[in-house]
Amino acid sequence: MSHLSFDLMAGENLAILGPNGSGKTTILNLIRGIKEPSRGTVRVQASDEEVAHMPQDYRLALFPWLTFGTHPILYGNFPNGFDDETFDEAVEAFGLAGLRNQPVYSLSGGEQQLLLLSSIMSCRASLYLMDEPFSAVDIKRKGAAIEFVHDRIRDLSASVIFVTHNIQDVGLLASKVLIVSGVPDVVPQLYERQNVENFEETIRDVAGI
Amino acid sequence: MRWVQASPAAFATPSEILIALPWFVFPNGGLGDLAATAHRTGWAFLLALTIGSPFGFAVAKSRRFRVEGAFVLDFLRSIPATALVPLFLVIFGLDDFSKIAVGAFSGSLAIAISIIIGFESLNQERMRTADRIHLRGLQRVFYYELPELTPSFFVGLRAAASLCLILVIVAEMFIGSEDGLGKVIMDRRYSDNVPGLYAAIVISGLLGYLINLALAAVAGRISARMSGARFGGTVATTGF
Repeated sequence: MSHLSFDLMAGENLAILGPNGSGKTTILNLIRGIKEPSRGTVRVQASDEEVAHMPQDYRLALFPWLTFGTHPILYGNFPNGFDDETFDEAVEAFGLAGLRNQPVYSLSGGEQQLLLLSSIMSCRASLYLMDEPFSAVDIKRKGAAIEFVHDRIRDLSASVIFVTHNIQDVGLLASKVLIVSGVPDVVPQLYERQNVENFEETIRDVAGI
Repeated sequence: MRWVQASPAAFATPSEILIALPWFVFPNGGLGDLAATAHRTGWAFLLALTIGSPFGFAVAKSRRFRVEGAFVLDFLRSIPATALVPLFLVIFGLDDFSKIAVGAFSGSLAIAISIIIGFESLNQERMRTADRIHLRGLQRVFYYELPELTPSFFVGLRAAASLCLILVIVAEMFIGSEDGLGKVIMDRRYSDNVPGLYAAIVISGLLGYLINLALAAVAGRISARMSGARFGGTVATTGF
């Protein structure tokens, strides 16, 4: 990937779209600092303590041998703070309240992803990095999940950078969209909602989804 | 090197071995020897667990220890434990503790190494999560590290149990013993009781198999509780 350049201000949300293997997760890893760019620089103003990350394989950010209810205790150590009330609200909104005593390994993939989403979003971060955060969630709960993320980001004046393949996620959450092709020397395209008419339609056409 | 044709007197038929096996279930037969070996193996295993677990954990958690102590650990584990039998004889004398110590030495290294390898193969993404949410101290040990180490820890435990049994039997052969399967094997060898010799070997194997089976069952149960994925099921070979 080359010629990648974008700025994201506090309160802006960026969706990264592109085919498999086009480097979407790599962009998140560059921002996380676990990969170094071969050229150029990545500047993240938020400190490590203010960045929350939800990996594509959500199971790797959970502790499957523990119960659902233990996770807010562990995520409660998030250095910039953790809001227990937010976690409880998320659990209610996602219909997970009856699962608090269940071991995580016994939950379905969608329930595990929603548990992680609840835990991550309850961390008081200024930047949320999310790699396909709704990929395992059923349609019924997905709307609630996106709405919850949207409200939380707005309340904290935080930003989210998320990878997705779904135009619905983009439409409801993103103020900017970065479309990567995975083809060397093809410049990734950045679209801003405020500068593009029929934002969703345009993105759908350009991204081919 | 040339092939040597073994004398037919060195072999026993399966029926002869089967007839010799029941001797080991009678209290006035070989049951005492079987119990003595099992007892020493159990103590050697417990000692290995007590020494090897904290040692392995300390090495794994200390980057400096891991780097600077790697040579010492590699050297120790490369020493054939049977070569230590005379040394342990000198240090601990002829009593039971010599036999237990030989088994415990190898067993504790197997457990320590399994913990160190387990740490090295911890999932990087989950480790980054634990770092990012500042999981520290006992919370990190009990909620994250120990559960994630469970599979490799049990591999180490099973290897250690096998090593303890092997070395206790070897020690019983060479360190003056009044009982034990190792002594029985040597006695049968000197008295040309070939079916009895094979029967003792079969009983030794059976004891090792049962120990491993028990540990595999425990590992399977704990693993199922930890992650929902069973890894116990079969009796593994030690690889040591």
